Amino acid sequence: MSNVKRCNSRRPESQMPNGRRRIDLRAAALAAAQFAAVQPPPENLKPLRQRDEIRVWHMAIAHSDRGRLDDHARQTIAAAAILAGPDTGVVAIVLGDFTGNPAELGCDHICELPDFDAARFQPDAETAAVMGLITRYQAKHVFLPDKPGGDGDLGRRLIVSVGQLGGTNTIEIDAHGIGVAWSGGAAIARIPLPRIMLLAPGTVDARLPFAGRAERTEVVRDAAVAPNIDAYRDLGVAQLDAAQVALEEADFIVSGGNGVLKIETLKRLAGVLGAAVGASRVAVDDGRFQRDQQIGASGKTVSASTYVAVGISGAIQHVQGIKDCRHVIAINGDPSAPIIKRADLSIIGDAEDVMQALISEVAAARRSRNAQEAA
Amino acid sequence: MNPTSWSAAVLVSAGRHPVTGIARACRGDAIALALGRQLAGDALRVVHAGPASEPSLQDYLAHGAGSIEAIDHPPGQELVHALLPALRDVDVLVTGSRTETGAGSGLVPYALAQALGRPMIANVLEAKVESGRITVRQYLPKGKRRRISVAMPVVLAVHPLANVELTYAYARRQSGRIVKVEVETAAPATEPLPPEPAWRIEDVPRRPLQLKAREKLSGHARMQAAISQVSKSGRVVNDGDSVGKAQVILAYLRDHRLIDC
Ligand SMILES: Cc1cc2nc3c(=O)[nH]c(=O)nc-3n(C[C@H](O)[C@H](O)[C@H](O)COP(=O)(O)OP(=O)(O)OC[C@H]3O[C@@H](n4cnc5c(N)ncnc54)[C@H](O)[C@@H]3O)c2cc1C
Ligand SMILES: Nc1ncnc2c1ncn2[C@@H]1O[C@H](COP(=O)(O)O)[C@@H](O)[C@H]1O
Repeated sequence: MSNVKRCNSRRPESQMPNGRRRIDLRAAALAAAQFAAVQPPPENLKPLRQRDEIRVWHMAIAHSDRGRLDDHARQTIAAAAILAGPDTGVVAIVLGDFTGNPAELGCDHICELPDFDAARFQPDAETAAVMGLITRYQAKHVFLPDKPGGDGDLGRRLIVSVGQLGGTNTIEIDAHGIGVAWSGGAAIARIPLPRIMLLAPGTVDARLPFAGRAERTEVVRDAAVAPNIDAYRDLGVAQLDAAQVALEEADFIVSGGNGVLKIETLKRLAGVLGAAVGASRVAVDDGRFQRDQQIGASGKTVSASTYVAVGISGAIQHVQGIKDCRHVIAINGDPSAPIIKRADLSIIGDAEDVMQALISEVAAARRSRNAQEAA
Repeated sequence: MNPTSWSAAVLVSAGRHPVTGIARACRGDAIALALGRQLAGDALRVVHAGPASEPSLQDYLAHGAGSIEAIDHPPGQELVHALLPALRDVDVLVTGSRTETGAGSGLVPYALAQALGRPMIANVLEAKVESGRITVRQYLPKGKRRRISVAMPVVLAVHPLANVELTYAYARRQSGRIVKVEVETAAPATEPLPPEPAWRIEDVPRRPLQLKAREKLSGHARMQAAISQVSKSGRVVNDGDSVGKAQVILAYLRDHRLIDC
């Protein structure tokens, strides 16, 4: 770990009459500030995908998680947008609340249905509401993520309601048609683009060079679709104890590397956060963690929403294992460690001190919340 | 264990080993069979749509099926139509999540539930029957589990992680029977569906191509993209004491609703 400040080797310089270089630090600081000032904000860099009148609609449907759409859901909207012609609009139906930027995702229309968030099980009412929107938009093609949770279930219900051949477990898609994994992935089977298709993760690159118009559509509650048409009685969702959940399935992981000296502190932190415990290879090889806790190229690939990397340098073999993690938080003593490039939030400091402080902060927050609830 | 007032059946499909192609029980269907036997014991009917000579059916006998009804449907007739007459009176219909051959779409239980007009629950891990209702535990990703109660009749698709014990007994394989069931080839009352596009199967193994948006960029822009490093790193907190840093983490977790306090 080094606390030495690195200096920019390409600072502005001038040639002195005697042939030596002269670096003026004040000028360098000024130039850096000016450069930062002329950079336009990145949001409005992308042009609109289409400006014509919309005649046809592509529809993408996904459940949100805590107000966000994950990468798989974004890929699904991207597919709808990339395959859309100049007269085709893209409407995204978000089941649950949505706080993201719909233009960035390529949506021309966005329609939120907060009553149908993933926590509730009301498949009949949900299918009826979505079928209503498919009819209202006369959607030519409908795209959903093929996920084991709500989206895959909803998609299959839609396919049998529509009564036409649909695509499930789609691993390839282009303007001509789709390819699905046949016989467990032994072959690819293709058909022309069906009305409804469920896309496997990674089928589409979610990055788009264009933006959508992002107009909000209000849904008028259809009186005919009463919310309690379901025969099912939902008895509630329970979260398995973090220790019981396999790492691949965990939603919150605290992971320790070579920089963690006291394993007990890390385990205590994982305990208060309700997180599963992972580790880097070096920490596993040292015997500080079990082999089945190793994350990375030669360990497990995880997809937790939150990944806290404590004392992990972030070698490429490790980062490969966390490519699907949405929020990466790094605690590291070295401001130039590669993990900082991957992390959404990086804390530079001693692992033990920060972990101890975080444990007491979370515990204090829990206490005050419990006190509030009791009051 | 022995239901008198309600009946149960499980659907089993032909399985193939993914690498060798050897006929065997489809793993997910064997798990569904085990869950069905937990519910209904020996009264569980085991139904397969296809020829009685299907070699993988022997495996299901060994996994505990006493006898298997093989409903041979003429090729071309829809599987769901062939199965419907045999399943009309079943109160609890148990299926696997997907077949190992063909599309493996997992659509069969949904289509059957719709044709029979019954509720359907997917990703079932456990099921219990109590006075006309069935209570199931459903798998959800990220370590979540849901409990649902529903009145019978119902269709349940079993998740491969269901907590059952797979047993294999050679003696049962020898003593079990496979019964061939003829279906009356009455034309379905509804109009024939328009012919559906057929799957074109590419046998040559290849990696699927990813769909990417095409970007029309000037040469200069492409050069810039290639040589400039866009660091997409997030916020870096260098200053402050460890309590302040911990508060930054807590604030981040709260902002993104990743913590419940
Ligand atoms: C073929 C191959 C496969 C591999 N597979 C994997 C794999 O699956 N998973 C994997 O993880 N690795 C794998 N590796 C190893 C990988 O290359 C790295 O060596 C390893 O990930 C480094 O682990 P680390 O970050 O814990 O240790 P280090 O690289 O030693 O990093 C320790 C980090 O902790 C920080 N630190 C030290 N003390 C403190 C402190 N007191 N407070 C805060 N921070 C501190 C340091 O600044 C440093 O960034 C593989 C390598 C190869 C060649
Ligand atoms: N030919 C068949 N005979 C009996 N059951 C079947 C058949 N095909 C599919 N099933 C059942 O339906 C489930 C889902 O199949 P599929 O929709 O084809 O992936 C399987 O796990 C089986 O339980």
